[in-house]
Amino acid sequence: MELLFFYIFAAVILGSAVMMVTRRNMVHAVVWMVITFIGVASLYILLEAEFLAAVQILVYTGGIVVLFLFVIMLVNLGDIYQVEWLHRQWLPALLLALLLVTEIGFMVWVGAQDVPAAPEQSEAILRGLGGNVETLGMALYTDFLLPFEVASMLLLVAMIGAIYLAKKRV
Amino acid sequence: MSGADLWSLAPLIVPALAGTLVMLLGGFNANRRLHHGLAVGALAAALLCVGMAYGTAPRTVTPLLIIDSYALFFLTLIYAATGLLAMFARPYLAVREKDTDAFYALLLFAATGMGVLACSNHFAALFLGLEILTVSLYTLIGYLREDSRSLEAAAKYLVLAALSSSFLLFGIALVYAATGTLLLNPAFRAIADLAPQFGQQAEAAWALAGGIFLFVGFAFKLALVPFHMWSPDVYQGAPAPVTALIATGSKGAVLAVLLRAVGPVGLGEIGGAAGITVLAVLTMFGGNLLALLQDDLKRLLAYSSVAHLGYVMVALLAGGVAGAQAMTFYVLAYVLTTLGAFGVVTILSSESPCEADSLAAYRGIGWRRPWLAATLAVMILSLAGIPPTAGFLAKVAVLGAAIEAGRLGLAIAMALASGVAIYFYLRVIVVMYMQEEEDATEASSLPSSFANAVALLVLVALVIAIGLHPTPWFEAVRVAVATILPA
Amino acid sequence: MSTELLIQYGVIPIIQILVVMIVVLTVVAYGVYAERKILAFIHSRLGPMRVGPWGLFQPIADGLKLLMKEDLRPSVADSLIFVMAPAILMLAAFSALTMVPFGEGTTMFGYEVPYVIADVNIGILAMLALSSLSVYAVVLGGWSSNSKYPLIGALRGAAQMVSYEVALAFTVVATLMIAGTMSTVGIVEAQRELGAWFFILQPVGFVIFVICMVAETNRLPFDLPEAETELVSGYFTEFSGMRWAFYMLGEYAAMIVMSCLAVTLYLGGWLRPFPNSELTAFLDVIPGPLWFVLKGFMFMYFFMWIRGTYPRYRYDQLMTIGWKVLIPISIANLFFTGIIILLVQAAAG
Repeated sequence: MELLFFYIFAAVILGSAVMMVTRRNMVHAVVWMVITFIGVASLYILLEAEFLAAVQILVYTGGIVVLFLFVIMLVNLGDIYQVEWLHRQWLPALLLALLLVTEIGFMVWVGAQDVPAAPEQSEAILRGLGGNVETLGMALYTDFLLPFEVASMLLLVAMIGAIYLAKKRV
Repeated sequence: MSGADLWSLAPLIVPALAGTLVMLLGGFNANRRLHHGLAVGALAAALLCVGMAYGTAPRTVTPLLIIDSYALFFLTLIYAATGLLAMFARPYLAVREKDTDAFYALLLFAATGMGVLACSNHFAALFLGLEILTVSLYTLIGYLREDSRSLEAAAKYLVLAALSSSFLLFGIALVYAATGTLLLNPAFRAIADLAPQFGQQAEAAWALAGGIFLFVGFAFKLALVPFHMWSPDVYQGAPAPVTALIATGSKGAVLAVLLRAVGPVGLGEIGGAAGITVLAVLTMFGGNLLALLQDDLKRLLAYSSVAHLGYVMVALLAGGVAGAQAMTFYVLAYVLTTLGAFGVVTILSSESPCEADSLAAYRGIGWRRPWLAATLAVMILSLAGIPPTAGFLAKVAVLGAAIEAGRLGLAIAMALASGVAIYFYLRVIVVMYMQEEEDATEASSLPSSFANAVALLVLVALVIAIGLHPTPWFEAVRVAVATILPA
Repeated sequence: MSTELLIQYGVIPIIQILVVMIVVLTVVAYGVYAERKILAFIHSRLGPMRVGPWGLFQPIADGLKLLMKEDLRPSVADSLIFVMAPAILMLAAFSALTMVPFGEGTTMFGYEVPYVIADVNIGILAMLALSSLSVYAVVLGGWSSNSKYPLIGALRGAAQMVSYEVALAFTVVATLMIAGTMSTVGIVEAQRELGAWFFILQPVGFVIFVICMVAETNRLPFDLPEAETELVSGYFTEFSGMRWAFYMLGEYAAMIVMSCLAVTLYLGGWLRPFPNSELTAFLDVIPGPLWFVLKGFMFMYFFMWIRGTYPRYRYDQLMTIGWKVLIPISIANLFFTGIIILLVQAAAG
């Protein structure tokens, strides 16, 4: 049952991801991206990471992708339809992509005998603390407090950069 | 986390706080001198904290960061380099850009990112540190908003760095899936244990695939051939002090974490030695041969730094304690030398809003600006590996480590590549001293800023001092490496 | 799978879903009627009076009319997205309704029947996440019409809804900190344990929540995305017939979701006032679900009331309120709530 759902969601994710990168219309691409994200959120639920699933939808789908749409609508994208795909580089690109696909395919082929199980420890932590949110909260604010703060700095840096580049010269 | 942990972390906290402070001040006060002073002062204070942290080293702060003397060695190098850059940047920015608060704030954040990298003991810290560094660099590279070359470089760096980060992240995910740990050393040791079982055990395939992705990510950041495409364009387009940051601090920090992760296990054990050997040879020859064709000093230095990273890879491939020591020593010499070279470029570019990067701009400079030209000449000689400079000894150390490890082929390749390199390095010196400039204008013979003159002098003194009397420096490197690789 | 399990986890949820859908759709239909009546009374008019006694059959007549209208689609519209967009609003609202706790639940024929379709441990977060999807209806609807007023409306809608979502989430987090859970049922239970509805403990948060709630549903005085005096009718200018009806009904469904959220978070869900006090025990003659619905209607009335009394804000005022007033206050609220919780815990030992 779980496997069936996994394959359904995986098919949705992969299908919509392919659709996303092949659309010429940016808005259509973004809509497919939304579907990809919802598929990923469904996979999280399947993995019993409900918090991650909700945050995936709240932050990515409900926030960031809307801003993508916002920017696409504000910026005049008239030219993008005329730009040639893979400007004279389709042959090397194709070869490299094939190489990468072969490599990953080979790894998957060799590795597919049995996919490594998730590490045991997370299971133990989950049982010790009850819910998903509690576990995540405990981990984030004790062991991982430092990277949590560092991550906030990362966002700050990104904000400073964006504001500086966008603001008018004073 | 205890108070003692916070003291150990002070070298990371100080620049982060100072960055925030500069950012906040920038909202109220446009005093460029103040921002500059704060940045340089904060980095000096951070260096002081590094000194104090030696008292408590080694200390693991949460599972993610480890403050040991290896980390502190690199922190010293990174903060000193960033501090000097900040000094060089003031006159450079003065003729170009009015808003400098964001520049110094981002520089400080970049320093923090590099510091996190140097201390990281965990993939999460590695990734966060790397991202703070690269995200700061996006903006720093494009800091000259009216210069299309600067913006072009920023866009190129943005796309390629984001791509390489995704490779890195995918690699981390695969390695975690295969080994069940995110701690650097245990993860790589697990890869090494799994590697021989390739084909029999599923995890081995995942671990190796993860390892390859990780290495591709690192290779992008370090600009190894064939992942070097971005580096000449970005080096050329970025403001000179930022180019110096990319060439020195960021490379040093990434190498620090790479050596910490891979060094104790050995590349040969992980099973990627053959591929990386090819990459190293390609990098050495590719970088040096392409540098022959350049007429632009920044591009030339870009290719030269590509080649130097190839030499560093030779040291990494040699492995063992000797290899690790040679690598660390090489990074020390390379960072000081490159910093000096870019320092001269920055100072020459500070006299007018146009960048002094084409080789033509350096014609006859040996007669007009003897001090600056002499500095550049020393740095170029050190990069070429000519005694009595730090670069020479560093090359000798790497060659020695390679021969000791029985990698004679690599050593020969490196010697040959260095031979090729001498041609274009000498070309710079020839241009400076043996060609006449068409319209010779009289200019002052000293750099515009006294502080910068002192900074350059210190760099020259260090490069020559290391070359003449390397013992204390070797000792420092030995102590640093001993914490990650006990002999 | 045994029959018991099938009934418990198959039949009962389907019945629950059907009941909720039918009730909500009726409320939506009569919500339109109620709004017209209430607005009329505020304006000293009578409102719809012709169809049936006091115009009670007006919604049915409207529905029939909209169903039979010609299906218009602008020739330059992006057909796929134009068709899809109106459905998103309803989809988002109805999926969020699955987490609403209408009551404590009972036992029927030996089966447990909770008055909530899905009590998950991330309830509130999931409700917020799903209702945040409704912004796509506005953005995509406006864009796909390929016409200038809808596009302006779409841009306004995207900016407004994303901005107010931030303040909304921050205030909700403060409440969640007091409740100590994200489960919707758990939040109501926490209010029973504390003996007070959360709006008493979170007065500032409650006010911010109510303001954001109005802005999130694009209702007056924050209906800038449709602003009929400047943008014809904003993002759904080009829609007519059934598609227009979907937007209309979707807006009411979103109001219902927001009301339910407010009732759960701040007004004690299905609980009577002062649930621990003996003084109010006689109020238990009103069953829990009815309490919930009554409180919900109160919010629905509030939506209509302010529509009748307040003028529309200017767009820059809207953004100023969102970013410079509500978000800082909600963060401060979060901060002080945290401090007070810590102090209370310290005092309790």
